[in-house]
Amino acid sequence: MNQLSNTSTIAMSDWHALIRQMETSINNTILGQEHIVRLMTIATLSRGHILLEGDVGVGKTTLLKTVAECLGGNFERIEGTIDLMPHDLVYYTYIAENGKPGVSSGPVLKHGDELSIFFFNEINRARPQVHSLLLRIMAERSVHAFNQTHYFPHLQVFADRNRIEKDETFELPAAARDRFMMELHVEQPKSETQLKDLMFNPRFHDADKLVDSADKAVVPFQQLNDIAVAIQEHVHTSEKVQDYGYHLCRALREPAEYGIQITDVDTNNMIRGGMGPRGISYLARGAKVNAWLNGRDALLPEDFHMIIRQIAKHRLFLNPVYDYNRDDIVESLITAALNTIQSP
Amino acid sequence: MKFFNTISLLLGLFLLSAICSAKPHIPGQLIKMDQGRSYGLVVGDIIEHQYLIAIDTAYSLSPSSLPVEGELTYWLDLNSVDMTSDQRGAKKLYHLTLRYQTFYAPLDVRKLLIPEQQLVFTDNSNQRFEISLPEWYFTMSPIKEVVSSGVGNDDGSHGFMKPDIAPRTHSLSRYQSPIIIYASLSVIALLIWAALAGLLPKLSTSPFHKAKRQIKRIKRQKNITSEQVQQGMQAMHDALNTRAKQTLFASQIDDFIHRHPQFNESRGQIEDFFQQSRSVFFFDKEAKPTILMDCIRLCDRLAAADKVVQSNS
Repeated sequence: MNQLSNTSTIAMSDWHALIRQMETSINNTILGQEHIVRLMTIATLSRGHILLEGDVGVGKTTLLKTVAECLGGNFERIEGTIDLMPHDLVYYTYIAENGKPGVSSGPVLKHGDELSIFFFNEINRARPQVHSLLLRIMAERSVHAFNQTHYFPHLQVFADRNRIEKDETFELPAAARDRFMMELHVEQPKSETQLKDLMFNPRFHDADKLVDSADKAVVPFQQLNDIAVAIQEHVHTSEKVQDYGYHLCRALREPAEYGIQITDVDTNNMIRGGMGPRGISYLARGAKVNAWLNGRDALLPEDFHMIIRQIAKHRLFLNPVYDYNRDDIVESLITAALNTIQSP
Repeated sequence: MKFFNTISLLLGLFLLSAICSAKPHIPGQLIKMDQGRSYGLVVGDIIEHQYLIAIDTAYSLSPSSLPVEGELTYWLDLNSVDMTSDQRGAKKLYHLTLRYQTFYAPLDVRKLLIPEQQLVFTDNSNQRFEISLPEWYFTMSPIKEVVSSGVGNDDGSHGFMKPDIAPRTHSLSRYQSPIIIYASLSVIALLIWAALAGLLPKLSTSPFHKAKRQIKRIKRQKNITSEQVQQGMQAMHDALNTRAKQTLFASQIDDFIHRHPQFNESRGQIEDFFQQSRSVFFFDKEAKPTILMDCIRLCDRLAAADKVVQSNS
């Protein structure tokens, strides 16, 4: 399949060039985050939502804004605060010029079905009620307001949170986290040259100007859904790679069944919840996108490796007795599964 | 009257017994001697006589009474005379060693004599006391017969020389089975212990030998199907996974070679194999039987590299 089903569409072969241009533009704007940028590209072409987390001031917001600029379309942003209520996303009230109360569409409804990116900053500062509304928007790309259902077919939610601040925050429930295709952990660049550049190059001192310097609307956002479908149809999955993907996901739910052992952990009783259908579907879709981005029309086991951590980590729920060391144990489990599951 | 006669008789008997039991005091004596073997001596043999003499401390040996070193007879030399003395309480001990050498060359077995010798001891009042070293008979044998005679005369010059009597053998059949069983058990136990202690040299445990056997079994079959070729390739993958101690993917070949530098020369072949594997397993290309020959060659190379490493480790 070399052409998308849509008319006046871009050929698949040309999409490669567009994606390369978009990644180059983002990487020129945000230093030292090439791997994160590639993962965000994969999530975008899989039509998945992204949650960024990391320390304060590493550039999460700047990165998301830059990606939003490159993707184009209508962009809305909201700050997570303790007093934010669900209706604040849908409408806001005010006193009109005629002195009567007025109601206008909130950030979600403002652009109708042309909304491309909804950026939720500091998501864990918002209350659970807001999270609930966001769940529906993310899962169904629709919201019911003013006696009708509004659809957002091109919507992609970007959110971020910092791991340091815990006061006056609300931990996202498991269901909300599962709606995000990927949780990406952003760290500051490790290269000395890049850090010196960030310190002394005035270009990086004004974040708004920096974001503004990125290429605008490199890819046509209205065609992202079509290219996403086309990629899934274009990339072939052999029986062997399907077996591998299935056993990899199963090993993360039932590690003892595959003889996986982790130091000081009873693998028979460590997992309380693993990747569900949504998670494994995201894994397969993301792996296919990675294969396509690498110029292949067939899926390889290495395509799963590229994204398994970002997709699986926040979907694995451990027995509370192991929560004290959750990150290390989950990392060990994923590594052990990759080393254990046989593949040609 | 009868009473007095009886008393007189008893007194007489007592005196007689006292006279009989009283021994004269002997100041010294030869208490020990060792003269060695007195038979089978041949020309040139050293004869060593050792004597231990105990004598009262009042007496001392007169050196002039010692035999003189040198030629005693035409066939007997006295090579050395060694004497040491030691004080032991009221006695003095003399340790005398005489070394003779015989040069008598008998044509047949001859009995010879080293004559008796006297050692003189004197005290301060020039009182003499003699102790004799007894005469010593010994027999000498010829080294070889000059003219063969008697037994074996008609068998030539070697006829009279008889071989040694063969030692009598004892039947060990009753001990044989237990010895074999116990020895076998001991060897097995020793091998087990050595294996557990890690003292045995490592046997060839290269997984590539096993993979090669599996692939060869497949290759011997007629009309090899695509599935069978895939089984052979999977065996090759299993061997690589075993050596890597994890599932090995194409993207990890560099790391694998870094951890197992013995395979560096086969890097190209390993990469080719993974390329073929991808084509067959993931791109659904046809699995040609020629791939099996490549796998066998790769197994040979990798097993040989493994062997070199194990023999060096």
